[in-house]
Amino acid sequence: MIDPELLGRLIDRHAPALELYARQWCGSAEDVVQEAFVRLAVLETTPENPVAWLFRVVRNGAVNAGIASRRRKRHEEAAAANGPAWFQPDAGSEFDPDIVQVTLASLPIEQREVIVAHLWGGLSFQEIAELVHTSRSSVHRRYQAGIVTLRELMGVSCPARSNPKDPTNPA
Amino acid sequence: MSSSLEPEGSDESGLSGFERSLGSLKPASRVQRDRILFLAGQRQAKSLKRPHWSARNLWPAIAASLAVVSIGQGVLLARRPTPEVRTVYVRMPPESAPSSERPEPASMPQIASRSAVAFDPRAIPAVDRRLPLTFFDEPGRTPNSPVIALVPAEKPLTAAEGLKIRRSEPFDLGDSL
Repeated sequence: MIDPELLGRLIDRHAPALELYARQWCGSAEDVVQEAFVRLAVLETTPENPVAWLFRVVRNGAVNAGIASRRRKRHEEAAAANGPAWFQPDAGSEFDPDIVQVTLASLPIEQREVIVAHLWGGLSFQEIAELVHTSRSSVHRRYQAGIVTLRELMGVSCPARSNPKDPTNPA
Repeated sequence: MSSSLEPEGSDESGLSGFERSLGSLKPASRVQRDRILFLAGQRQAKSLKRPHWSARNLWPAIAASLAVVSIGQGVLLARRPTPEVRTVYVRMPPESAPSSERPEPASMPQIASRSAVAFDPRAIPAVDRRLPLTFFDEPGRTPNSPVIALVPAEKPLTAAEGLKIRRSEPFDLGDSL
């Protein structure tokens, strides 16, 4: 059984990112995350990497919840897209959270989940590769492609050093 | 909008300025920490209270086994074959034999206690030969097998048809008759 203090720290540290991750597939993200933490609490032995384990459970639960909700109501997907905000309003941020949400939601799910898991979940590309059952290089390609698309959609120019083939780059 | 991000490059974590700015946004969370901890504790208590599956299924398995045994024995009892009736033909004693020479009739328990070799049909009076004699396996028990009845012979028996104690083993009385 997991230590309650460790469980509390995991909730404080990773619950928001896990919820954002689950929201890529379903609208009831908080239920999926809650169930994942409860399942972690009743495990006989704590996983070696609890964070990666949580992301895997949340991903499976969110995918299943998304499929079930689409079967139940076709319009629920649209309702989920117009549902709660993905990010906290932050006046000090350089980006508008609503714009980031809309832009991020427009990405393919393969790119979205990698970006969310890496940027907000803190998972390495290797951990994400194990999570989505693909190679590390494939995960890296998806991530880079998603970031480039986000840049384009948000009107952020790309530096020549990081992506010289970017058409938005004046150089 | 993001001119402040330029120029940018990857830091030691491999994130560019754009990625760092994106990552600085805090995901909104509606997850209730206390509720998760409460549910986790509740689920832990349930899992601790519930015994292992083998222990949970032990008593039902024992009960089911005993039920099967009881039903089987009930079926066997209901289908038990009827007690086998064995008929012993006794040769009629000669008419000329004086009745005074006959010994005292043996009582039924005495007959039951005698061995088959010591059994003497001449010792039974004519009236007794019409009575069914029942041999009990044990005193005070309902006879299961054998049940022996004495039936008067319709005609004189030959030596080969003599006294049969058992169906498969004709009893040879020898010189006793």
